[in-house]
Amino acid sequence: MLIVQDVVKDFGDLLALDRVSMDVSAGETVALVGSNGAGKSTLLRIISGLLDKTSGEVTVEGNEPGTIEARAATSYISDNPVLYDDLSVIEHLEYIARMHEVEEWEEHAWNLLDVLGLRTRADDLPSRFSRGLRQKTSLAIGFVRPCSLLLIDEPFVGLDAPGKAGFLELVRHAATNGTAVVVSTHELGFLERADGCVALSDGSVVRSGKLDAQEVLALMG
Amino acid sequence: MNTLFAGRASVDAPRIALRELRSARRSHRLQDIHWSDSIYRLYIVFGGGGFLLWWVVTLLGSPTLTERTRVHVLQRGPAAAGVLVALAIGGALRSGSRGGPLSLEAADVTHVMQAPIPRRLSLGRPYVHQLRRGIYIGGLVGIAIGACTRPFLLGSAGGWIATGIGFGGFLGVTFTGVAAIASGRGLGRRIASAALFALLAWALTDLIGNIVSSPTTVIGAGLFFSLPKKAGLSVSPIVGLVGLGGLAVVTAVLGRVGLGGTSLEQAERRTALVGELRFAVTTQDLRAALLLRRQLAAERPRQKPWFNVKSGAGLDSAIRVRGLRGIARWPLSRILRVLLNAAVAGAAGRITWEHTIPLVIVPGVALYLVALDACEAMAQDVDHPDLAAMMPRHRGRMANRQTIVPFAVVGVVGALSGFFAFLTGLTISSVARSDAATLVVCVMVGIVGGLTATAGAALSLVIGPPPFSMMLQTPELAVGYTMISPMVGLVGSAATILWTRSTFHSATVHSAVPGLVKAMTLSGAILYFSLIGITSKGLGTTQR
Repeated sequence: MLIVQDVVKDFGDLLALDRVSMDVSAGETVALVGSNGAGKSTLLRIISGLLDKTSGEVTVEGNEPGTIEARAATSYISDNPVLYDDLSVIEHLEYIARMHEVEEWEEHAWNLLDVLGLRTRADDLPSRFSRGLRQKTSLAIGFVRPCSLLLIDEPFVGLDAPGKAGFLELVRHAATNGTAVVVSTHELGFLERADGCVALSDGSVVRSGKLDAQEVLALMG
Repeated sequence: MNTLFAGRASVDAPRIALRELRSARRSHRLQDIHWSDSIYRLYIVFGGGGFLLWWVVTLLGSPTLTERTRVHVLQRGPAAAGVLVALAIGGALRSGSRGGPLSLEAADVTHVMQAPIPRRLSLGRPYVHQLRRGIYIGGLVGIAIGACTRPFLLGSAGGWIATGIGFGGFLGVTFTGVAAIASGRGLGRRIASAALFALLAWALTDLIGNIVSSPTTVIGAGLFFSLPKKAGLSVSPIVGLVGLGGLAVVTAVLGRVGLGGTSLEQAERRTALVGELRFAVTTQDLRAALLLRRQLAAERPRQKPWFNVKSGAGLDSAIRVRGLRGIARWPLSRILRVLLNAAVAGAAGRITWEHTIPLVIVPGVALYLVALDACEAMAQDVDHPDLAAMMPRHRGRMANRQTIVPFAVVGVVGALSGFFAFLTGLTISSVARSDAATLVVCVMVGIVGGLTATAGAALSLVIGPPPFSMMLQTPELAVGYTMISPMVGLVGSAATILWTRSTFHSATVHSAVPGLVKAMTLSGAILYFSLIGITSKGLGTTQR
């Protein structure tokens, strides 16, 4: 599903990623961990096609990131919710779903809003929301469209307990349906739910495989 | 008792400290200015000023005052100028209700405004600076109004420009004073808006009803001080000018007295936004400047849309529906601004047809401003490129489809401006025409102007601000780069108005047809090449 091979990202004055490799199969959930500045967000943005790599190979279902095929396959949820100022929550979901050619979007969208506790805010403008509500909206947008690769950057920031539970339920459901999921997080509790883990430090992969919280903490120093 | 304050030598000590701090900062600023910077500023001021002077002088039309026009000016001129005065005073009230007119430095808000000094004192100097700025900006607007009015109404150019400077300067001071009073008194936004509409309605009642009831009409008469053969003017221009001068002095003093009530919260909010706005203007980022201006004006999309937009089938429909839903959430202030721009475009276009060629630029600017608002859905994809970049669609084609709604909306606004041009013509035209053919010509001209303005606005979004390296190395080129899209927006409107101008000096409106055909051909070419540019460049650029 996702193949990352020796990816390097050099910003000129900063080597953000240094020969990073990882594979994620369909239905697999991988946690991407590391200290602040380790390169997690940079890696996710390269996979999503929002950043160009300096060298190396990345393919999503055999396609280069950023191609129309890869964009159709990849749902990327940024750590900083990106929302339109003049669309309500439900209008966001409709627009994004229809841009991905989902015509029967409504039932799925309302289910998502129920799971994330947003139903009562469906007609509100997210531009006036708190950080947590914006994060929930962003998650709903990421899940409303079909995808085979789900990239989620710091999903727990600002989420309340029901929101976290709802999000974990959505991730589990997506993986069960064959979606490859990569979650960048500092919430080490998520490691228990992940099938694998990739630990980054200073732009390099320092460990991968099934890790527990203690091992990750030790790696992060 | 706090020992720090108990031991204070004099109540004047903080005031003296503040004065010394500002004096020291001013001398540091002056020391930091390099001589090459000073020369460059002189070059910009004289270069820009010289160009402006050349434009005004070369484009002035030949003075021809018909009896019909003279009578209209005598009857309605003061009321028309009174509408401008009402807008200025009402706008000042709204500005004050949002914390204007002062915009302080962040450090001043944090340290000086929280120091144990009466705010009336600490804000005195910035207030005087703002008054000076008001005189300067008002004077410049006055020069433009005076220069454009002279060929229309005869008289001495120097007289008109001097009157313009005086009238504009007084109005600038009044604006600052009224805003300071509103800010100091903590005037609510709704009350300020209601006052604006009341003043405007009163002034318009005078204009339409051909009466003198509003004080703004009396003040507006001051603008006609240089009009030859003033006998018969509905209000004495001397009374108007003296009235405006008195109002300026009174409001400036009251504004100074009321400065102590300035809200720290509002000051802090404005400080941050104005700082960003200045940076956006420096980097010639039109979109950022527009967004920050909206934030300063607290202009936000409506929670409840004016109308519901039903979904259709297909991708193009999704893009259209998204655009329309954005329009459906326009706040009332934006709708009124759009209507005002349509009226200004129509009136200026019609006056250009009659005599005053320099006004040809105004309809294009007004419609371009409308188009920038109408392209909001596209603009948000520029603001947040990640969303558009992740959609499995050809970015250029997506951007292309996103122009459909703005073209339709600004086309309608352009048609409306044509209607306003028709109405203006009923009042000022030397050849009174109220037939359907004239209306059709006016509307066609408005639509063509609206479409090209939209092409320019959409283009501005895809080309963005000039590269930073260009601004540093060749600022003249950077200005040229920034002007590309507004010029694309203006040229269609200007060409259409000038090419159809002869219509209103000939016996029949059919003479407008060749001009309209030429204008539509030019606008078609502008639209075609703009859409090619938009499609090839697209939105949702990555690497940000």
